[in-house]
Amino acid sequence: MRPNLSRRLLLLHTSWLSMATFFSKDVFSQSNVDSYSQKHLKNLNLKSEGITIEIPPLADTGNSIPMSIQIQPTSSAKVQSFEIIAPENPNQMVLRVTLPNPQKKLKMATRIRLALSQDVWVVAKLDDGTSIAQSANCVVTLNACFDAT
Amino acid sequence: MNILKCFSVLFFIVFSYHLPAQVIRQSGNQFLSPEMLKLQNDPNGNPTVLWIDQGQELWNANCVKCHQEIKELASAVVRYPILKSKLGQASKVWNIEDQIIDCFGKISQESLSTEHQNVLALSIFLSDAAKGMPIHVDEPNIKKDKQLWQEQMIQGAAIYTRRQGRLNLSCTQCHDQNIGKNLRSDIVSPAYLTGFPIYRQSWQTVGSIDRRLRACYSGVQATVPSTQSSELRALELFLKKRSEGMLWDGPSIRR
Amino acid sequence: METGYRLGEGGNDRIPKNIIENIVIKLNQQVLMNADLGTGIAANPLLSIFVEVPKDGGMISVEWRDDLGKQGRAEKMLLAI
Repeated sequence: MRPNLSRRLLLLHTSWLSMATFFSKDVFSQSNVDSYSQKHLKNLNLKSEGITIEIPPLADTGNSIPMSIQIQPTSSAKVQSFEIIAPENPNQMVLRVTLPNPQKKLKMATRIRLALSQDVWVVAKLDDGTSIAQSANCVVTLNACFDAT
Repeated sequence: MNILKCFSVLFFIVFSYHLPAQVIRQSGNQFLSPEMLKLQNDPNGNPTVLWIDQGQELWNANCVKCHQEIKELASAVVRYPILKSKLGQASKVWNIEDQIIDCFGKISQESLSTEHQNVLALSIFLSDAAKGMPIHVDEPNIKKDKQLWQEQMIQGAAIYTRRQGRLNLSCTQCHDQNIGKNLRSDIVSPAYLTGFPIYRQSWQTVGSIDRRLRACYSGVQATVPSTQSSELRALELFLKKRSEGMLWDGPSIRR
Repeated sequence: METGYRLGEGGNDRIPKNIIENIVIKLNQQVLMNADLGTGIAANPLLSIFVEVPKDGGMISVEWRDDLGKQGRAEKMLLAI
């Protein structure tokens, strides 16, 4: 007997199938959490004194953007750890650094990837329990042509 | 009629470089943004140094046995692509990666692709050694090969000037007629082959001219020819001849 | 370096994620810095940090580990002039 899949049945099956893929979308997302969203970071209202971010305002490529950070808290506290967060990236936690020996001053540079134009945040935890945060905006430009290779 | 059109374009493009230098040919490096140029010139930051180091190791381990002096082999970079044949097979156009693959085959009986990391590392190492040398692509000495070489050049010129893909664009429309103009945020360069293999930011790795040409085909939404196809080699031969006389930049970075 | 988002041949399966997950920088066997990297770090990132070298020098060592479990280590003696 030939199966007769009516249109309604087909719609029903495709709808639950598509919902299943929606929920598995974040299967490799390391840190797609609310606490890394732009809104949440802004609402924290953390002081930005002591953190300097150098990042080009207009990046040539989203794949490799040079970024340098200097953290030197204005209070007597020392830096214990910091995170680089890109709220619009699929994996928002870009880099997390912990210093077993808290430092007065920390300077580092690296190259990051940004999925699209956004504010890049650096949130630093100090050894007196407080946190400071700074953000810098970076506009990302993409390649003109589609590359299938 | 088509052949005649191609021949005349080829004639014009090749022989126009013997006219007093009113045409200033610029390498792609001059179309890099200030940041990219800074990265290109930074000996520690430029990602190609990783492959140059790898190439040096491979050279010492594999190539020194046959090729003693790197300098004399480096001149191959500015002379290729050439017409070559292997025992019993017909002559065809070989580029520098094809030659490296053939050499590897002799040593390790492996058949590698043009994008294999070892092939690219050696190609970049040679490219670095050839910095500053003027490009000089010569036609072969044997009469029979001369004719095939000419045919390949004509085919290359034909590909360069024909419209293709869904975007219906020919190479010459952008790379000759719209140099310096913006394609979204890319600036169109005249596409001279002075710095291959390149580290392309969008690839996040190095790639050969073969890969870059295939990316161009995909850019105009044309059917992408398979790697090492004769169409790509003919085009490369034409493009290299078009860059005749220009100084080799060495390994370069691109967006 | 694979982010886990690229599609393989045929455009169907994703190439599995493989990045350097963790880097530990030690100075004279004491951990200076412990870094956890995400896919937001570029391939070939050139991580650079400023280190205060003690008066009588120190051995700097860098250890890394990637998603496939591969590990590496490099060390160099630093002298304070």
